[in-house]
Amino acid sequence: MATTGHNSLNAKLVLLGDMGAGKSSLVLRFVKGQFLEFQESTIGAAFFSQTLAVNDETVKFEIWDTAGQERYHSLAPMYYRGAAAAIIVYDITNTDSFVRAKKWVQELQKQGNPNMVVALAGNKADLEDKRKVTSEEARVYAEENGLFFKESSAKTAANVNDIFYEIAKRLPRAQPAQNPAGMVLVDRPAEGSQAASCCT
Amino acid sequence: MEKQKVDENEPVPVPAVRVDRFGFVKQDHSNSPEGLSRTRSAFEYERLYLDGLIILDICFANHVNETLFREERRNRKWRKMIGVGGNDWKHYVRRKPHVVKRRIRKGIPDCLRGLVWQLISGSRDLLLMNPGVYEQLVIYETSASELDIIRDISRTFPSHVFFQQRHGPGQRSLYNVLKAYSVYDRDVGYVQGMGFVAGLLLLYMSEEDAFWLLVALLKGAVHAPMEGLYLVGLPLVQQYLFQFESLVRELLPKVGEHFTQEMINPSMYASQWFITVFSYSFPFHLALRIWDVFLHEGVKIVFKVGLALLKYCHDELVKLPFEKLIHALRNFPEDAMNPDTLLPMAYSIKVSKRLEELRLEYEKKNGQQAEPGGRAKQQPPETPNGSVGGLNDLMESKGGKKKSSSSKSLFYEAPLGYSIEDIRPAGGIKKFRSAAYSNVSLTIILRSEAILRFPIPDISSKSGQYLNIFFLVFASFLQHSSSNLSPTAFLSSYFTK
Repeated sequence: MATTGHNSLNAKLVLLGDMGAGKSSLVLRFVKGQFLEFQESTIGAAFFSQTLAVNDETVKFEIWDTAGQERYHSLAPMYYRGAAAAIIVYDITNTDSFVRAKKWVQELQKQGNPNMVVALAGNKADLEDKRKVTSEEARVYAEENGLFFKESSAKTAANVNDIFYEIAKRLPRAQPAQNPAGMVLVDRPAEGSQAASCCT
Repeated sequence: MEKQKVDENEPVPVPAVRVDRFGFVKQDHSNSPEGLSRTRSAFEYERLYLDGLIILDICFANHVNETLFREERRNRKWRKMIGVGGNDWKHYVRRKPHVVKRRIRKGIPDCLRGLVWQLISGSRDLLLMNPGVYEQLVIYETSASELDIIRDISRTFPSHVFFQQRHGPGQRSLYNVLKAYSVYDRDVGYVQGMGFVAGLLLLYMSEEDAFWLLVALLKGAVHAPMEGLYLVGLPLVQQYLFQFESLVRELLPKVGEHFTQEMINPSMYASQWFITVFSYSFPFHLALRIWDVFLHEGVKIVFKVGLALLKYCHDELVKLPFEKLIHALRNFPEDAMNPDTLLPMAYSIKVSKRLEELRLEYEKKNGQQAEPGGRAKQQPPETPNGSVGGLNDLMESKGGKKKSSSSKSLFYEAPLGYSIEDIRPAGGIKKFRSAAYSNVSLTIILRSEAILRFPIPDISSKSGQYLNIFFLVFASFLQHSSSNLSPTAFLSSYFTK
């Protein structure tokens, strides 16, 4: 659940999605500005945190990155229970991963917190020539289910930070943010922020 | 002097990769901007590797002599205990179980590790009783898990030279073992985490040996079967976590209380300990020592090591808030990871009796839920001769016999690469091509200044997969040390003698 303090917000966020979709890579890109071509499989779950500044407020994400394989399903509820936000990740080059993403959406709708901010991320957008899931299909699905949707690439950093900013903006607050624009990233090395901007 | 030349401070030619003595690529943080060495892609490493520019970490003569001497003495003791080709092992274990236990707890010599692991896990018996089965599983069967396995292959030990090369020998054997297992046991199939276990085994033995060791563990050749770690619902993981949490509360009450306050659940830090028996994200030298004891004494060592880690860091842990606590539980300090400190502490923690009671308690509590798919959990944790259910079937249906008392003839020594005869307990002789010694370790002392050790797990393997990688690494080393001998000449003279 998102908890507010003096101009600061702590938000538990969970990443869900098929194995190899790029959950850990998205987190690593967001938290450390890094990318590994061969990211070690996640066994169990891993924890990260990262703080963003949104206007005059800071949002601290407490991120749980989970193991993607179906067999690990039984461990997932403990990570999404009480989460303020979730990013459901699929791989645009893999249709099965999109099917799996839809299952996660259903599960969160049934079991999760009704105020949870849910983002759908079509990852590996850099692999356009191998694309199997069209953006249109995913966009329509996301709209129907009230999800925030973006295609991302942990490899090129495209849209990775944007997903987290957008979630930060949408988190329910006691007093809604007046002007949801002009966010500044804080608490991270300059090198990492550069990776987010398009031209350096 | 030569020795100075190879000094570690000497800048090495630019594109070189250092690997530690287990073959993991070393991250050089000293002269690179933070993150640079990390972001170098495995593809680049592969290139460097193929270009022969990897150098092996070397240790120098003055340290080596002393260590070598001690190690040699220890190896001699071990060789005597095992006997030729493992012949004397069972006899020795029966006669002096306490000596065996003590020596294993001190660590199995690295050059004998692969063989001893197979002896203590019961996997060697399985291998010998099921000739041709592995090959059948690899070549002829198809598995529903193939795609999952492929997706994980390059993400298993990505920093190890053996597994780094795309479609290289390491990745191929890993794929074969995992695929074979997923066919062999379709209920388990492939589960993330198994790759790290298989990968660790493959660094010490051939594919086929690694496969049977996996079978021995999951089906329970010596100890309780562990397939429940990977079955639907991960029933055994849940049980172990319940037991672990209770033990923490009982033995380290302050830590237990603090964890409860900070809402730390053991699944957040310990599930990977159980799922991969410390082979994931854990210092490799320590993992190996844990595996020595794990294969001999069973899963209780995982509990003991986990508890010892918490005990060692007790005073810091009880002060930390949630986030730092999670971090600390994933990144124990280096001194805590020293096997010679941590393991004695682990041995001193007694858990067997409580583990059994807690298991019963857990079953009573969760009996109903755990039922579907949880067929592994019914086994008592430590059944000494526990060939159970599936394993018995396996041993009998495949034309073998359950471990027979006169099984001495099952062990033999063979000259490398030769075809050998297996005198089967039922009489009859069976020719084997693949059961030769699977763990030869080669120690080479180069101009008395550097020692290179590399396990050569299956010299007789048809494809010689493992040898390729050894050759590559070794050849690159020779290139680097500007030897007069050409690598090929050296290696061929060595292996054809």
